[in-house]
Amino acid sequence: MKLYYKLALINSVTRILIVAAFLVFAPGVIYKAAVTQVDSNLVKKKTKFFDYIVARIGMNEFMSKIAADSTYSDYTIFKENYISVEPDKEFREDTIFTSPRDIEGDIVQCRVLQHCFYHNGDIFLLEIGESVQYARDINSILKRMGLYIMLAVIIITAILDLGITQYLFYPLRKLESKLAATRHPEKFNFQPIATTTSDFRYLDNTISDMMIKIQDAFNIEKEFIANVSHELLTPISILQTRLENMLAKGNLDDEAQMKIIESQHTLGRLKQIIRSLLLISQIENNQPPKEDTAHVREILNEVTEEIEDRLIEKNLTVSLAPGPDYILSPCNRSLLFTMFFNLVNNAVKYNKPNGSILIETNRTASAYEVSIQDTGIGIAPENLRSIFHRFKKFNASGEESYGLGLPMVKTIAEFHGAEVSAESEPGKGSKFTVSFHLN
Amino acid sequence: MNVLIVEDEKSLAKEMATFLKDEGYVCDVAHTGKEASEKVFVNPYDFMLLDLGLPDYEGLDLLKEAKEANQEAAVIILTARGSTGDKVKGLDMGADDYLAKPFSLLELSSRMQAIVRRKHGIKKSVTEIGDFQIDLTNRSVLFKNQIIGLTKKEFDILQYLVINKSRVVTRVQLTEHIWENGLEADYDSNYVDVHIKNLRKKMSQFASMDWLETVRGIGYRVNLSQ
Repeated sequence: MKLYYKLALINSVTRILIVAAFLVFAPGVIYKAAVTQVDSNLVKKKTKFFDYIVARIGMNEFMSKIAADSTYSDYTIFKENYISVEPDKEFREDTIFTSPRDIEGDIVQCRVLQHCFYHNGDIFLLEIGESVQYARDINSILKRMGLYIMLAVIIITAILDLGITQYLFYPLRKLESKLAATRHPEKFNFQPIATTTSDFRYLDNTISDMMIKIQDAFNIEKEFIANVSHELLTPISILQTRLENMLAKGNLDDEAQMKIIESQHTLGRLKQIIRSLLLISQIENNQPPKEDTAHVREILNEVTEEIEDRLIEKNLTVSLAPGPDYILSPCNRSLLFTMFFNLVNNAVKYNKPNGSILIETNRTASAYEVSIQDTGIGIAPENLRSIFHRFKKFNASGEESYGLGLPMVKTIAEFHGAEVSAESEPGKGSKFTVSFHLN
Repeated sequence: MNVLIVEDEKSLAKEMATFLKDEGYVCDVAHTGKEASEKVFVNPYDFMLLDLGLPDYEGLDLLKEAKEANQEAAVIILTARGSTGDKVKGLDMGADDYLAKPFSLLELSSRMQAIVRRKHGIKKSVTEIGDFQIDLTNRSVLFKNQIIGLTKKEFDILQYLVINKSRVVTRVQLTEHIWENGLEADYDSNYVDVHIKNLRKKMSQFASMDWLETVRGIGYRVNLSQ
C-alpha cells in the first residue's frame, strides 16, 4: 500500500475515534458543566436575594407579606430564575437538586437551591430555581445530528488529507519513477527532483551518490577489460603475423612448416578463449548495443544454413519444425545468432553418427520457447547443474571444448531477459530450451 | 602504393611491413601518433593502417588529420579494443575498413586489394583463373558465361584463395576468414576440406581444376604458373 494512502487511512481512523469519543462523552460533560455553572449561580443569587430584600423592601416588610399570603413566589426579581419563600416546619441544611418545576404552565427541569432561615423565631424555606433545559436541548441536538456531522467531517477531511499528502509525496513518486526507469545504473538520470522536503532531498542525493559510485565501479571494470584485451591480444597479433610471415617466406622444411601450422592452431584456440571471455564480461557489463529488431525463426534458419557443413562428417540431419515466430526488439541480433549457433553446434558436436537435431519454437501463456534437441551422448544428471559454469568440461566424446560455449549462451540469454534450461538422458540425448518472457 | 603503418607495437609493425613489402607495397612506419601526424602532412600515402590504441594520441584525431591532409588516402583501422563504438565512429569519420586484432596478414592484404578495386572504380573485377571467370563484385563464378552455383562459404574460400594467389593459405587462415567474428570458428575440424571438396566437384564438371593445389598437411594454393 502506498505511503500516502496509509497516512490518509490512519488520519481518518483517528478522526473517527475522536469524533465518536466526543459523541459518547460530550452530552454528559456539557450537562455536568451546565449544572456546575448553574449551581454556583444559585449560591450567588441566594446572597443577592437577601441583599435585594433588605435594600429594596426591608426584611420585616417582606416577611409580613409572607405572613399574610403564607407563601411568596416570583420570577421577576432575577431573570430566568424562580424564587419562592414559605414557612417550614424544621430547619435543614442547604441543598441543591434537580427537579421539574412548573414555570408559567411549562414543566421545566430545574436546579433548585433550598435554603432555610429563621425570622423572628419561625423557620422559612427559600427556594431559588434555574432551568437547565438548554443543556438538555443541546444534547438532544447532538444526538440527532452527531452521526451526519461526523460523516461529513470525516469525508471532507479525508479528501483534504489525500490531496495534501499526494502533493507532499509528489517528489517521492518522482523518485520512484526515476528509479523504475533505471534498468541499469548507467542509465540513471542525475537531474535532481524538485522538492523542498529535506528528507526527500537527502534520499535523492544519497541515491545519486550511490549511483555515481556504482557507475565508477562499472567504468573501472570496463577499462580493465579494455586494457586486458589490449594487453593480451597485442602479443597474440605479433605471434600470429610472425608465424604467417615465416610460412609466407616458403623457405622452411616440411617439419618446420608443420610445427608452424600446429602453432597457428594453438594460437587460434587461445584467441577464441580470450574473445569468449571478453564477450562474456562485456555482456555482463551491458556494453554491447541492443538496438536490433529480429525475427527469431529467421535467425534459426540462418543457424541451420550456417551449420550445414558440419553435419556431413557424422551424417546428421537438422530440422526446424514449423511453429510460431517471435519478434525480439530491442535485441542484439549477432549475439542471438551466436547463442543459437552455440547450442546447435553443441548438438552437432555431441551427437552420434546418423543422429538428428530438432529445433522447435513454441508459444506458451507466459513465454516464447526455442528448444534444441539432439540424439547425442547426453549429460549425466550430476553434471547437468554445472554445465553453465565457466570452464566446466564433461568431455566424454573426445570433442575439443573450451568450457565457455554454454556460459556464453547463458550470458547472452540473460542479456535478453531470457532463461536457458537443459534436460538430458545419458545415451539418448539432450534438450536445451531458451525461454523469452512475453511482456 | 605507399603505405603508412601507424602501430606503437614495434614487432607487429615490423611483421606487417615485411609482409606488405613482399606484396609490392612501399612501407613507412610510425610508432607514435606524433610521428604519424607529421608524416601524413608530408607524404602522399595511398594507405594508412591505423592502430587506434596509441599511447600518445587519440587515434580518431589522427584519422581526421590524415583525411584532411590527403583525401585520397584509404584508412584501415586496427584495434584490439573490442568496442563496436570505435568501429562505428571510425567508419563514420571516413575510415574505409576495420580489422580487429589479432588479424591475419592475408586478411589485411585482401581487404587492401578490395579497397583498391573500390577506390579506382575498377569495373573489370573479373579475374581469369584457368578457364573460369571469377566476378569479385557480383560474387559469382562463370564458365563461358555460364554461372556455377556455389554456396556462400564455397565462394568465400575460392575468393580468398584467388586474392592470395601463389601463396599457401592454411586451414586456420581459411577458417578464420569464413567465420569472421572468431566465435563460431572451429579450429579442430575438417570443414574447410569439405568445402574444397564440394568446390572441386562442382567446378571440375566444366574444366580442369589443376590450378587449385592441395599442399599436404598445410593448406591450399591457387597456382597459375603451370
